[in-house]
Amino acid sequence: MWANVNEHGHSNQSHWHPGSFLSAVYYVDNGYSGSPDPALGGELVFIDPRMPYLRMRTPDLRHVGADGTGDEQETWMRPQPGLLVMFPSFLSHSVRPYQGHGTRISIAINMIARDRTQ
Amino acid sequence: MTPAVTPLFATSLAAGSIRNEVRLNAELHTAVMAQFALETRAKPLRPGESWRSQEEMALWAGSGAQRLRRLLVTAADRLTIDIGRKSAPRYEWHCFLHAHVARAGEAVTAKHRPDAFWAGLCFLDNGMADVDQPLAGGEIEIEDPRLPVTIMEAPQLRLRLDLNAPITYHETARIRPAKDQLLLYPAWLRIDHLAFYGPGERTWVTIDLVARRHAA
Repeated sequence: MWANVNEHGHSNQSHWHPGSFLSAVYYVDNGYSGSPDPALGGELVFIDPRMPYLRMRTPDLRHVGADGTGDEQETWMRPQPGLLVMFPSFLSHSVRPYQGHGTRISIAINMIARDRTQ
Repeated sequence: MTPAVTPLFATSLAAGSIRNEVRLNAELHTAVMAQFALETRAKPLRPGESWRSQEEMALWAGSGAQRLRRLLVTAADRLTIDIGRKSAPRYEWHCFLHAHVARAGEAVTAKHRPDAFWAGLCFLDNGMADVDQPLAGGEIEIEDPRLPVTIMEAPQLRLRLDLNAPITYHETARIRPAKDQLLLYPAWLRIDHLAFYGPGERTWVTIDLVARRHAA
């Protein structure tokens, strides 16, 4: 578990957490000071693990899913104070550039499953 | 804290039926069995080998293949979004159909056409003689396209997909084929045919839908 403090302009490139089963992030303060302005950025981005072969042959075509929309290769999540997001550690994720002026504080977590019988 | 599970990045699987297409199954089945007899007379199958038509069905299956093709193109249009389309459609579908016949214990190897966008299966006869026979096998097994990464770190652990029901992640999904069943899925998805020991002849059509862009 480790703490992150981010300021204006900070971001994280896409990465995974090899060696861990579950990863998580807890947002203490999103730095937005209550502003809903999407221009403040700083979204947590999850990247489809099937990429890039979803797009290799016909990049403009999308398979329609159960909800009637096409498959997208990313999902963005806007942080909120008190939000805990847990995800498989193999899932690639990044943080878009944060453009706010408040201090953003989050805690990142890796959870390793150990076999008690061994 | 009240946690909730949000599934992300689901793979599309469209399930339908040709049951309501008047005489389509019968027409296709008759054509398939005639071609099966013709091809296996010319070149007998090796022991344990199932049959896949040498020739594409458009060449020998007549109006049945044309009807199935039209139905599949309509489905592919509905199941696909072209994010770059401004007005007129930019892509057209090329449909490739092959027939298969398998009897108890015969091996079936799934083929994948690398240029296809959608692939599919249409079961004319599941080979179960109209009786549900779970022990006869023959399920279609679909692999999670993310494998093996989902089970590398802790092979004995599975994520729960619903916190209020005993639904957990499985690295494969199995479907029991039924007569008239039509399945369409992304062509890069790996599928397997599990060993089939039903009493009858399993007859089906494999589908590849290739999206080709019109010349600018």
